[in-house]
Amino acid sequence: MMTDTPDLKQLYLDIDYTPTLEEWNWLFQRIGAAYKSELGRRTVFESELFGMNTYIIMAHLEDYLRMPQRIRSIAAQMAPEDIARAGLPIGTKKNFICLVAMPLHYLAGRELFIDLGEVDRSSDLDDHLEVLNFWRRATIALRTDGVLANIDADPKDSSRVLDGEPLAQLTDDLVPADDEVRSLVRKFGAQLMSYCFLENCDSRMAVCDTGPYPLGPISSEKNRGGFLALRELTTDAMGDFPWTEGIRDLLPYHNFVIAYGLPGEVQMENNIWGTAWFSPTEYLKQLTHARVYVTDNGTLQALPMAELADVTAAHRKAHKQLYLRFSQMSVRERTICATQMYAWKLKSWAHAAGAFDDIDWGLSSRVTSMYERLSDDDYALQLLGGVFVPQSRDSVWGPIE
Amino acid sequence: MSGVIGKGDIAYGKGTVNGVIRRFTTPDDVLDVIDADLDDTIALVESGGTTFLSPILGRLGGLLCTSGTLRSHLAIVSREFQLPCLMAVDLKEELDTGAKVTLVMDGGSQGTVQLD
Repeated sequence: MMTDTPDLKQLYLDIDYTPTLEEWNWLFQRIGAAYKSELGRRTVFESELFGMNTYIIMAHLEDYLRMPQRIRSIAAQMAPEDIARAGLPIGTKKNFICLVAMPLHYLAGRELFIDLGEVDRSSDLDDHLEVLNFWRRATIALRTDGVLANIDADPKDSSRVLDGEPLAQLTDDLVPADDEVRSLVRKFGAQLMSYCFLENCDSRMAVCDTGPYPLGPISSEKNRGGFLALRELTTDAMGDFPWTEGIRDLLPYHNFVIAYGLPGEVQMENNIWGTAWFSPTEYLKQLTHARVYVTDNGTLQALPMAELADVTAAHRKAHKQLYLRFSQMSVRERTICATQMYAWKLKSWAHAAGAFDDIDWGLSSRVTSMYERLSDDDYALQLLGGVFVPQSRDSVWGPIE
Repeated sequence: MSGVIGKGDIAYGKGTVNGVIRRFTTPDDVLDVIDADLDDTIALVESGGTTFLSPILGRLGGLLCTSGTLRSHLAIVSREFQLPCLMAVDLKEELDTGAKVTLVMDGGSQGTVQLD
């Protein structure tokens, strides 16, 4: 294992540089340690609606089996950095959280297969490098803060994917937050977040936080060094999820960015996968500025405040219908939906590259055949715990070799 | 009041909240009240996932979860809805649907559940 810090300028910024195995392991040892720490604070994954431990394991195994070839198909059409640069870097499913989930889930899938005794630690190096290189090249192109992981950003535990003119335009459209604006934005955000969690089977794949960003022209003594936090809420506009059939069409819009202007007294900690924790927790009561943007047409369109309540109501109605649909499924059916949801994180990248139809998106029989065994809660918890919070190492995953 | 029967980590809330316990264990329990007035309802659940109660989260009076942490999805969304919520609640006795309780969140990191 590498003990000296590598050339970070090369590793973090040079798209055409090929990291050595030692450098990959140095990087992912640190990312994996942060991931383990964060997962340890979550304790367990539980839901009466979705067998979370079961589907997380199934999806990670599926990622290990299928992600490398899917990435090859995508990269054959378009380089990862070009995909990342195409269109908006925010407010689509081709975003930070879907990108960072690629190596996190793939490498966890590897550890699961190793613990199941079905894969050697020395197997499949080419596949590992396919996934990691895609992620790295896309991340360099997507992020504007010159690092690959939030733990290395300045400030620590932050992320930025927007700068220059797009950030300036977004900032220009912010409105001062009075009690009415705070209430409208809070209710909208809460409903959309809740809907996104449901559509994504209790995962955060559709809720992505980036920031803090400097407030720019609005920053003043009055704002006391305030900042901007951006929250992306991206629902299924493309029809990638069968369970939203007939429901997604009820929604006037599908993809949003909420911009929260907050004073300097509020602290924002953005974890390894893009979930922000604010201190104090009642941060929304301290909003100084806010705005909701729709990104359905590929641009950041500020939504009139007068429309927020109606959009919130439309999502509330769709939420009820989606809940009814899920509640009528068997546990197995819901688990399969959730496994698909996680394993389909590459769909948005495939759409962008024009490679969607080149890929078989069906779940592998090897994974679906494991459902019965993995639906034993105690077994699933033990297996997942052994990978996510291992006793034998500081990181979620061991080195690639 | 009959005294403290449990305590948990405050995910959101300050002061006191009075209400009536309703236990939720299956999606049908949620569907049974999906259009009901839930202002006085304190939901009692066992898992920290947010989807289970999601259609009614914004209308509840309060929420008790006997597992999870402040980083559980249920805690996250409860904060967004400004729903008084205690996580990892350790109950000294069973709480049945219909029990009248008061949640006390006095500003520390933990809140208590008191049987009325």
